[in-house]
Amino acid sequence: MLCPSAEDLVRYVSGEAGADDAARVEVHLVGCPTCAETVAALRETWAALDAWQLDASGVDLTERVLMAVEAEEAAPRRHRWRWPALTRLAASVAIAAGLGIGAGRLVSQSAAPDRETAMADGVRDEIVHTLTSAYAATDSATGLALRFEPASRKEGR
Amino acid sequence: MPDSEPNNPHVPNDASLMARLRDGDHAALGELVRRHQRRVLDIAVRTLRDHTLAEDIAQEAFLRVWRSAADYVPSARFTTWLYRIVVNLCLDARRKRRALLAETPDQPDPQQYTAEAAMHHADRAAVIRTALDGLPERQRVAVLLHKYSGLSMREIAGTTGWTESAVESLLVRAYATLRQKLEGLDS
Ligand SMILES: [Zn+2]
Repeated sequence: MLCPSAEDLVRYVSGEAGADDAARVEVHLVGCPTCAETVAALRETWAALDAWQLDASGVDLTERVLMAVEAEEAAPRRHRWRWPALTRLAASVAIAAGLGIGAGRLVSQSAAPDRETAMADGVRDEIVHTLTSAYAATDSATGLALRFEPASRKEGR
Repeated sequence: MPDSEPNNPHVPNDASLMARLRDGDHAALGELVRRHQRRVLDIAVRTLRDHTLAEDIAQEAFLRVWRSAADYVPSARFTTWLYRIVVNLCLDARRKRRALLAETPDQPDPQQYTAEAAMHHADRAAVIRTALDGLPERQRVAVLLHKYSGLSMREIAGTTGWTESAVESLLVRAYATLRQKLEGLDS
């Protein structure tokens, strides 16, 4: 009997296989220890990944977004964009470099979930600044900055 | 994770909210934010691993939705388009962060922290984050969208612009690597 493809087994475990495909896989698994083992391992991995849970339920961005929209509408077209996070830009990258060590130590002691990145505000703000500025630069030309090429091209397969 | 767009015919769908937004109705944007922010934040936090930055990125994503409303053509699902904006912003932010951290030598590589945290704390979530961090970027993005955002392979292809067969092989390889890295980790 021909074995299902590796991606079909992933589809089966993730639950995105259709009912017919899932039934076919199940029949196959009964007679194929190799695929049965692959599926068991996939299931284990799939379940293990559940241990990384996030809790973002307390966050509501609605006010922030609407305020930013109003601010942008009120601003002259040229100077559009500013937003609340940028008020923190006062912290420079130089200061960030100094803070980085302390923040890192703090992290390795407490292992604060999802904050291991240990990034000082200056660095964070610089990132945000770049992204919003880049958008402002391409805004009128294309309307959208939706290209996905940089990630895929750089890394290849 | 179920889709957050309602099926109830009395509740406006995403496309009609976008139409209202195009006509200047800010309340429609508020509704889109309320409806989709949890999943947008989930993608951003998991990709960037920094809540503050993730919130800034999520805000920027919704601002772009608003700015683009006039040009929006409902050819694809709204969420596919929205997630594409979010993923794109997150990857740009990661690249920018790498570049900035490289410029300031006192800032250690974030990856070292995750490895260190994992070793010191034997924390299952930290082990998972470390394993995911070790994946090549496209594999990691594919897994985050597949496993945690609940997107199908086809939806991931629509979101990223990669072919469906590319997404398939990224996921097969990613799960095989994760299997090795997570072996023995009780779930
Ligand atoms: Zn088989």
